[in-house]
Amino acid sequence: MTEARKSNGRLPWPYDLLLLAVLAVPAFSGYPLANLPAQIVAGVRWSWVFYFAAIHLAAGLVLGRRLYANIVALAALITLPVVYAGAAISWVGFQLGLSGTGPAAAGSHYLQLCLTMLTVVPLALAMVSVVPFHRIEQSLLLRLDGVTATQKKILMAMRVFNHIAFFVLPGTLEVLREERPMARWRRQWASGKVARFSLLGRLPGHLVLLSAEIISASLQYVPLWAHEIARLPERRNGRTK
Amino acid sequence: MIFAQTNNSRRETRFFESFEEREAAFNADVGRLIPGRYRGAHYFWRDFSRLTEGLDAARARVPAHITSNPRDCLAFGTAEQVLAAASMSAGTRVTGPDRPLEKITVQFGLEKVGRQPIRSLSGGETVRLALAKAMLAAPGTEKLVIASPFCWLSQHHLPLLETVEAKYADLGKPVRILAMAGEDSLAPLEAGWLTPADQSPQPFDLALERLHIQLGTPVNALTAKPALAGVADFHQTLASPCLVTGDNGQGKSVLAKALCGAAVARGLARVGSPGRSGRPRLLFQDVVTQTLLRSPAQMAAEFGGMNGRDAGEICGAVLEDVSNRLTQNGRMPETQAPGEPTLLVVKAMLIAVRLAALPSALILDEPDWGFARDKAIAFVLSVVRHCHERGVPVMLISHKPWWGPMAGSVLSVGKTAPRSERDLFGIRVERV
Repeated sequence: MTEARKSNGRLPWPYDLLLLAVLAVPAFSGYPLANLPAQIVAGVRWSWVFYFAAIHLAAGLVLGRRLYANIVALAALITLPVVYAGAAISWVGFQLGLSGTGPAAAGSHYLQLCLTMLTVVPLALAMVSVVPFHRIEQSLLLRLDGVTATQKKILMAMRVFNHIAFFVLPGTLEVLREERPMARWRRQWASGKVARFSLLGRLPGHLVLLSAEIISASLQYVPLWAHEIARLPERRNGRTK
Repeated sequence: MIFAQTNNSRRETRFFESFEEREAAFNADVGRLIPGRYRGAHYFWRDFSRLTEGLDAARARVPAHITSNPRDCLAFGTAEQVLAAASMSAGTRVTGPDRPLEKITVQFGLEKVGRQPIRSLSGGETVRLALAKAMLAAPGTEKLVIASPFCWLSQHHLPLLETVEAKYADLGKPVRILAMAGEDSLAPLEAGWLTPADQSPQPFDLALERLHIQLGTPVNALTAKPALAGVADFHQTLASPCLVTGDNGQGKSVLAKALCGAAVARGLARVGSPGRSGRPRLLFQDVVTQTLLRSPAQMAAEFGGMNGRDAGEICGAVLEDVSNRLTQNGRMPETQAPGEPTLLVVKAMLIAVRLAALPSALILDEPDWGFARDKAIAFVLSVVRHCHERGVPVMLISHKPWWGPMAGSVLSVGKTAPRSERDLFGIRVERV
């Protein structure tokens, strides 16, 4: 990816990361977004609308069309369930008298939440995707006279990240594609009330197991890698230890 | 129970009847640095917690090693890094006019893949890299321990293992191989294993047309057009069980994943009997990964319920059939200890869940992985029999020379030149 971007005349990745980091300051600090109270509709500020546009313009320029489109799709997949589920839960709470926040107030809240998430989630994904982790890992063992202590720590972090991104998650996706659990659950849901209750009872266990297995797979070889990396001769002040 | 132990001048080979004992022995040799994930998440956390408390002591005892999945012992991003790290850690001279590192790279056929990410290497390249790493680690270690090399080494690569053994022998350092009983056998399965029911091949169709299989990972696909493997068209009626052969890294597993939908692919990839609906199902080589949606305990609970009764019956029948076949051929059947299910039980459960859904075909990817030879033969024959009873054809992927006498038809899978501009390489399927 980085080679293609260089041929397109784009900036090297540290500059892209710096640009996105500077643009992230308002999201983390609230300044000046909180200081501009003018609203486009109830609960949604003009400042956030402009900030949303600025983030997406910057992300599009930095990432290129393909990656930007994929990141926007991912952000939507993350945002919409959260916003709609949150709104639905608020409505149920209001109907049951558990919450005093009516639809008007809750509506503007979730509208702002949607705008916020569609701004900060793409920003976060863009900041992660501009960093060429694989190239960083590859650059860490170019010298054959040892590695520094800092490089060892970076190697370990890169190993874990790359293992999760390029082995654990793809392997999990392969298993999920082969199993097609959604199709199976839909069939069970459609087969009657008893099957639905049974499915609802088992579903949390399946999801907990999936999460536990992914975490276990991510960590399984950390001790072995730690051993391999720790054995590398350490280079200090230009001398090998 | 250790089945047998052999010693020659170069290696000590210990054979095991059970996967669990082999894993425990390997883990003992490598300082228990691999928490037992195959036992389930609960046990994994317990082992991992204990491990992190005593990591320094454990680390001190670790010899050079190759895990049962060679990719898992490669701790760096590229082949070049793996070899450089192995050399540095062993204190081996890696620079100089004779370019020792480059010589090893060429000797093990890795000269073209040095800077490629490990994840993009084929199975064969990964195997060669693990062996090259072990070769370079020799001066700095007390011994070499290898888990089940004959499960992942094709005959083509056996000379490389012998090269590594010779290196350790020259240095006076032992090589310990921990293998499943009969794993190294080159003999076809004996006629006594086959019953008349096992010798009734069933016809099925395999159709591959304009098929391009997406390679790489979803992360790669986010940033660039994904690389593809183009598969040559193939339309034939075959006989089940169909044996799919080929050397390491020729695309057998990639093709199997495309057939069952586990890999993203474009074009036609269809397998099944005429008039049978359903989709193909696949038993992965790494079955531990396949339990991430349903643990053995959850599957067992489902088997007792209304929706899982068929699968429960199939599982029980397969296990009983395996036990009977072993007994009839003078072998010890597996005894089930209460508590943790064994690898055989887990595989039987996964097969049962798939077979109960009446797939259009069942594909077994290296089903002998983790089994002693006798158990593997009994298991595969039992699965084939129960599939045929339900009209489900079976494709068996294996590089082992055991399966010829039972195969109804044989396919050979091999890599070719790219079939189009977007292909990284091509795959050709031929009937043997």
